[in-house]
Amino acid sequence: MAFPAMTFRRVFVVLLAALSVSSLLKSKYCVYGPPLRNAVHTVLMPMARPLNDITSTVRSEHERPVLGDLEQLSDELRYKDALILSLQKRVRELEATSAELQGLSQRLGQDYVFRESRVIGRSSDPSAGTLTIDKGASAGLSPGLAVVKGADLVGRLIEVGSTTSIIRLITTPGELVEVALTPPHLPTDQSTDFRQRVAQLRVTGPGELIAEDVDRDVPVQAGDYARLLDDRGPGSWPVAVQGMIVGQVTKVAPNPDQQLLKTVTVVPMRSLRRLDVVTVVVPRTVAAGSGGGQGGGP
Amino acid sequence: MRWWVFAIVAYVLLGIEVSLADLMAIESKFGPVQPRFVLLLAVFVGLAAAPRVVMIASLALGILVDLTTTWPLADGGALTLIGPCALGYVIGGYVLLQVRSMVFRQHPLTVGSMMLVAGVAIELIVVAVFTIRAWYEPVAGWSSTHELVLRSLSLFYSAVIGTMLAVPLCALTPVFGFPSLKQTGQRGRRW
Repeated sequence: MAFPAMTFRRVFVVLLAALSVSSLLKSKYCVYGPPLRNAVHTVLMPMARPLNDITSTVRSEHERPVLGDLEQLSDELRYKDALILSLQKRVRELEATSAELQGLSQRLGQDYVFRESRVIGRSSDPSAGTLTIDKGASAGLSPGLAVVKGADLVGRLIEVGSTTSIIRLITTPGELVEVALTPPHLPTDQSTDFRQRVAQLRVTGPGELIAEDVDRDVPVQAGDYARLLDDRGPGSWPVAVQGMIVGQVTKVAPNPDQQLLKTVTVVPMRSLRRLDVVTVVVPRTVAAGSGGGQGGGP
Repeated sequence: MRWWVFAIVAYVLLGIEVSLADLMAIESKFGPVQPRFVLLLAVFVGLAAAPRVVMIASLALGILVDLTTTWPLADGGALTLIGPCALGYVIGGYVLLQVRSMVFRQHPLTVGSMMLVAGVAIELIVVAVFTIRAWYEPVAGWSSTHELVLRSLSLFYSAVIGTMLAVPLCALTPVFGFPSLKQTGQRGRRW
């Protein structure tokens, strides 16, 4: 039996059929995806990193002086002033990060190490809503580790390549997080049992989480914090990040369907999709076991 | 087409798409509406290159977009797969090949409008694939209607940005080494 001649068109049609099958494969069969993704992100890193820095700089409140009718020297002076302000802001940010990390270190004892990582990209398709960071298995990271920014919970790693990793944000649609609704400043006497104020937050829109089953008698008001209190067994959040801030309560309203309940809306303290530096909390045993990676506790 | 020029431009635009596009994102209640820079290159090549080159370039760009997107699954896992965008871009490229003989290819407005045409084909394929997948392995928070609205908004935004960027991109036509319009016109429907 003679095979039909191999033409470009026929090869392409076969390729399309293969792509169709590949599109519908279950994730456990897509073993080729993570290494190829890691390779593409590693190649893209030299391009994406400076562009991310530009993005961060532009987003900051730093404003360039308006050029135009002012004299050149005056412009230059203003620009330098703005530059100094920008650098001072960066120093303050780094000092704040350092202080937060020291606080975390004291709180968590010596059981965890922190890997500060730069966000080098976001998914091409914004619907996916994931972030890519510049550290991977070679720095001791593994899937499931929690990612924070200061005292704010960011998400967790869902895919780890050798040099890059993917973060699933807590604001990913469909995400469920159990939190305790607490006042912004926790009482120091430990007398309040926040387990009575536990609520389950569900992501309902971009950057917005809603709890619809909060008891009407729970004393919660706008401005309170939602702190992670999610220990639902296997697959739950690591102990290290329990108590981290998920967001701030922006609205408390009666539940229109159930009079005994109320609806609480929580918004993260910062836009998680626009972070430029995050910290991965790595158990020291995992970090030691991996044997790689730079940096340790702050 | 000079493939090395295509590779450099694709590298730059993909880098912009994963990093700088977020800066240009417009927040909406459906999510971030952001421009698609890789689509711009696909359309630009799709309007000017030889049919066979268009199909290969579309496939390459689609695969790259697939590999820079990791989907969070509803069960907590992650999914990086080659397929949805690769298929979408190839179909989008094919649609371009069918309609390009009816338009002024070198006009920036054509690039913008063709981004809408090819973009619709691409997004329909992507949404269809993930809607089918939702039956057995759903992506977290997947909603076809929501996605169609968000992607339509993104396409309109991309078309506006694309029309503006098409001006400098059209100036690069000689660098890309595309065949003359007469040549591609003769073979317009055959690949």
